Amino acid sequence: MTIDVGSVLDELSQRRQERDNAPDVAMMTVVAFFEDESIGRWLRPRIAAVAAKEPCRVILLDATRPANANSVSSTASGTQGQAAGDWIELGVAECSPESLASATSSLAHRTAPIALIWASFDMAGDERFAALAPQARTIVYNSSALERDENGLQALCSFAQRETGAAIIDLAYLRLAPWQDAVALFFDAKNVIHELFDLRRVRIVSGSQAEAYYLLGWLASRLEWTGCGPRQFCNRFGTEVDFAIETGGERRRLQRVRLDSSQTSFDAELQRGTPESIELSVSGAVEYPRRFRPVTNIGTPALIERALDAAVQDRVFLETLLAAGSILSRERGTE
Amino acid sequence: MIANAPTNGAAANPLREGLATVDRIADPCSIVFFGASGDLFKRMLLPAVYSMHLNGTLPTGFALIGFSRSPYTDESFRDYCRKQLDETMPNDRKPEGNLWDDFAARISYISADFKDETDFKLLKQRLADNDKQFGTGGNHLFYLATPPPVFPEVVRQLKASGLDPKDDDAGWTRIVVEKPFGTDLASARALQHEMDRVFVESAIYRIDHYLGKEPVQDIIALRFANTIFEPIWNRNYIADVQITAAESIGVELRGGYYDNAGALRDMIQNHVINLLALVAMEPPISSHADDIRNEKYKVLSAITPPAYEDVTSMSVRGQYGPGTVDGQSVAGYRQEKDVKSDSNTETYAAVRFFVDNWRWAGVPFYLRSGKRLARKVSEIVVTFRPIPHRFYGDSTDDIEPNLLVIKIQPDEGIAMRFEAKVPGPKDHVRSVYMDFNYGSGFGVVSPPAYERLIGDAMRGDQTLFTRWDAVERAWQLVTPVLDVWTNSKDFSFPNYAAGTQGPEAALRLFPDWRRL
Repeated sequence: MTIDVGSVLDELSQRRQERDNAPDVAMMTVVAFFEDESIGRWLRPRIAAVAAKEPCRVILLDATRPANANSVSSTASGTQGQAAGDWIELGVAECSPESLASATSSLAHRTAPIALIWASFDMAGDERFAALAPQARTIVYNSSALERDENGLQALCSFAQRETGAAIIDLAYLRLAPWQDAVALFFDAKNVIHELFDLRRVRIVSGSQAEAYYLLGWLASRLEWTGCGPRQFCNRFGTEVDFAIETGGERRRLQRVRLDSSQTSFDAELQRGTPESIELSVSGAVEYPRRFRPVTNIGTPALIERALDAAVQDRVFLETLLAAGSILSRERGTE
Repeated sequence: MIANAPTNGAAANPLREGLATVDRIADPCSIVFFGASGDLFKRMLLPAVYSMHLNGTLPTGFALIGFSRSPYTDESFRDYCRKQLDETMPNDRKPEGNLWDDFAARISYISADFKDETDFKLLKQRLADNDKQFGTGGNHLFYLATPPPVFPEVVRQLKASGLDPKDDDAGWTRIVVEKPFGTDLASARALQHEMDRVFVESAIYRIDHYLGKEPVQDIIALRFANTIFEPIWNRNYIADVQITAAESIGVELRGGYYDNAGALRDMIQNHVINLLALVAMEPPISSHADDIRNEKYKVLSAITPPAYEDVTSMSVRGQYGPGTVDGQSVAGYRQEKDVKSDSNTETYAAVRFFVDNWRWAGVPFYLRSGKRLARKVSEIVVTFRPIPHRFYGDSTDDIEPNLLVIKIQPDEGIAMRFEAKVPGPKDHVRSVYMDFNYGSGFGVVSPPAYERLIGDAMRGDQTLFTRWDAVERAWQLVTPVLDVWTNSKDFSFPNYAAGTQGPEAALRLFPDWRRL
């Protein structure tokens, strides 16, 4: 099945004329692929929220609809507070990978880079993804949107291990930002930093697996921990660090992170309320005044916006992803 | 054991590398606001610090002390802060919940007489208590948000009470000084002399909030993160540079201050000359604070202060009379509250400088600033030289030179004017603009300048603060003009109506000012 790109381009031209050919200021082309109606329903308003702020051309590749079930719209800057942009929806069920790639190439804004949001189950083995990915400057994935999110994380890990010119980012990882900041804060003080290299146990309570594995992978990659058992790391001095992941709290959210050194416990726990915050407490050899840190910008539109900004590969994310993949492989006995 | 001062951010704490919030979290510290019951604190400084708290860019060990004359207690000052934040913060960032409680617990207040050493001893004790209670690590940031005449007294008292920086490991001490830094060259030097007795230059942060604005920082990015501008950024291609900081408001409640200051002191000597330095400086060898500040100083050194006899030909002053702004009739300057009825103070100033170096020889830099002008506009306009030979276009076409406009406020962005052919059978050309706006380009609102600058002071980054040599040089550049204006009454005042482009005499200085 192929896509009638010509008629879409004609319609786009007509829509743009209707808005008086207002200046074209697209900063990027956002290409989003999905093949599950519920994911489409989840994705559309979130991309729309980003498009309202960032002038861009959005191409939704909707594999739940037949080929050529298309719609096109175009917005001038300032229209109801919107940024300028074009919105193209293509039905792409049963379309070949080649036709998907060709249509995307023809419809993408010519001077703006492409960001591909891959919102489908498979990745590493999907030929459509393989056809679209080379066009993208940025590839955005959301592993915790899937039913078994650790599968998504491993699929992304497999893809990342191949050579690719695109910057890859996972929304599940970006969602951790306030937690990474909170955990890092424990160890900023010069009389506490040594505790970081003396950690013996990590306990994470999370509503989804991907976020928990990412946090573990982040700690392991930053602190040079290596796997030495299904639920154990060894730090660079050879001391064992146990870890445990418990399910709790909302989906796609961390609930609690507790780090124990030989003498001190560092505890960060989500506090509901408005605004949401993370309560930090420290007990043992080091004391710390109880503190609250904000949980900001973790809504999906904000995360997508941050993800789309990634023009080059975030090295810390890549190392975190590979470490998280390695933990999963050890747990599954596939390493 | 209480946690105390950190080692330096990312390099020391491996978990900091690559985090999204900031490259380096600020050091734990107590920040003391002198003049905390004043307008600047409630409108700008307090919201900036609370915003940092909500953004997660305040350090774990943090405390805020208000130090002012008003008779608040700790509790009533917290209530005051909450009320101010309620009024100034957007709906989704109001002071409430755990985050407000956490912030409020770190606020305290000292009702003080700036001349009373006892109150400074009390401050010293409070800072020591904060170190114990909040882990602020002996780091102290003093913020002078008082009227300028109080600055020297505060600095003297800090020394007398033992709050001056110590050459030990007990923590750092820095001081942020609001503008104006002095009211003329002599008073600036006197103030610097007082500062020198207590603080080394690396501990002094002279704030010019214009430098914290994103478009101002973008001048460096525009010039040095692109290859297309630098080759033509010189006398061979640039005809002139205009720098405008225009306001449509009057002096409002600052008549008393303004009548002793005027537009030249209030805007040109600091904000506008700083912009000139960024536009004209040579490429720094690195982004290190002193490498950038060295280049800024060098370019100001290349400007010769005007001779007294040249002041009339290189400058224009104005004062607004009654007029109409945004459809509303407004009073003239001399009718404003706390302004003398025969005031000789200028509310409009325009000057022309030349940067006498290889790059800029012969290129005039026109600087203007004023109140009650037609529109609020701050921008830098770089006008390129006209085409060398005209062969294209209808003889009636006005082929205008290219312009690069760096928009600072209220619009933030960059616009480029160039000539384009008008579609049709005739060879008509017309000017068109390529227009980049931060809001639509990046989809984000620029963070307030004070938030960036306070964070930088806490982190010890002086890049966006003005060094003494540049402040002194800026005073040297405007002093002859100030002297002439102070010593000669302008009988034409008021010489422009509120809501207009300014005095007509400005067109004699430069006929091609960009319309406000």
